[in-house]
Amino acid sequence: MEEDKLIKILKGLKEIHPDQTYTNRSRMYILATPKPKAKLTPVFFSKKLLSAVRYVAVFGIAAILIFSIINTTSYINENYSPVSLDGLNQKSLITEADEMNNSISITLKQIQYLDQSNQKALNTINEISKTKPDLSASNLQISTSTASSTLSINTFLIPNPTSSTSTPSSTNNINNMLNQVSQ
Amino acid sequence: MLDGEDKIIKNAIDGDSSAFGLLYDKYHSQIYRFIYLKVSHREEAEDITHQVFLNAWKNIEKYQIQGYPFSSWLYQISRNLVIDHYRTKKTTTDIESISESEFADSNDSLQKTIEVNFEVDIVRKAIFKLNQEQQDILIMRFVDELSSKEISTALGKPESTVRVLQHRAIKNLKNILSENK
Repeated sequence: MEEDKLIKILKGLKEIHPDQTYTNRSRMYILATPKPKAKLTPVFFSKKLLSAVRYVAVFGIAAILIFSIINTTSYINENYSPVSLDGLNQKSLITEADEMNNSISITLKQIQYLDQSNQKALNTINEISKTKPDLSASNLQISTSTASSTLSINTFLIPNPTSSTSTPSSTNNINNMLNQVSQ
Repeated sequence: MLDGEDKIIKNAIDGDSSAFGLLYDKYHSQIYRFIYLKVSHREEAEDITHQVFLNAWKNIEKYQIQGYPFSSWLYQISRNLVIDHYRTKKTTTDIESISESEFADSNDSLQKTIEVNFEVDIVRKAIFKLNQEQQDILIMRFVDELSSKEISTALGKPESTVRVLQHRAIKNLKNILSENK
């Protein structure tokens, strides 16, 4: 049987109707049946209120649980954990960072000082070369002989009081040169 | 769906029996047809239909108006009562014993030709061989002409599932009919 024909027959089943006598009798009987009165529930026990209270309670308990779990975990980690990591200790991290900061600032001061002194020395040499070309030539010979060495530069620098590499001989050299300039 | 059905239902919930009478008049034939096609016995169908409307009247305050037709709720009650009927009966109905006159009496328009009557009776018996779910869907969709949404509400299944089940029910019905040839 084809589907269209089948559906047509199925739709034909709509013509089934109940017996009218039975229908009237049943209707009368049902409508004559007293409807039991619905039990009056107090407002505070109404379905909506109860469901609202239930939701609030669930969320409240969940929040408390999460809060207590986080607190307990952090407390145990700080105080009783056998594998407590120093890296996670905030105080020690701050102290360590401060120390690093200090050492960096000291190094910066040293660099600044050396830079200034180098500048002074260069200025002095320039002045010498202008006023006393013969003297500067002799100095140049000294300087060119050791130009590639960083030690030769150091010989012209004012020693850094904080630096352990400065030597008394280099200080004397510069002082002598300054005396010659003044004469 | 009745005009102003929500208001009629509210009145019925408030205990207005005439309001429930309107709902009875509207849905009685539909529910009877659904039950009759499932039990295939006139008197049993009448008893169950009566029980459906009596239960609906007694428990109408439990019905929640949610934009769905009142019939969906009545179908749910009907399905439960039919299941209870088969559970308590505990005997299987012999398909061949279903009287053809039961159907013929109730359908004057289909008595016009013997051929049509014969085909309708074959299809009715074939429906009886389907499982409960497929029976429900075929009757609701093609006999009572409910929409997929109304059927999904009555059966408590998604509309997509209803469409799949409908397709399967038609296929099975065709198989049963071809086997009977």
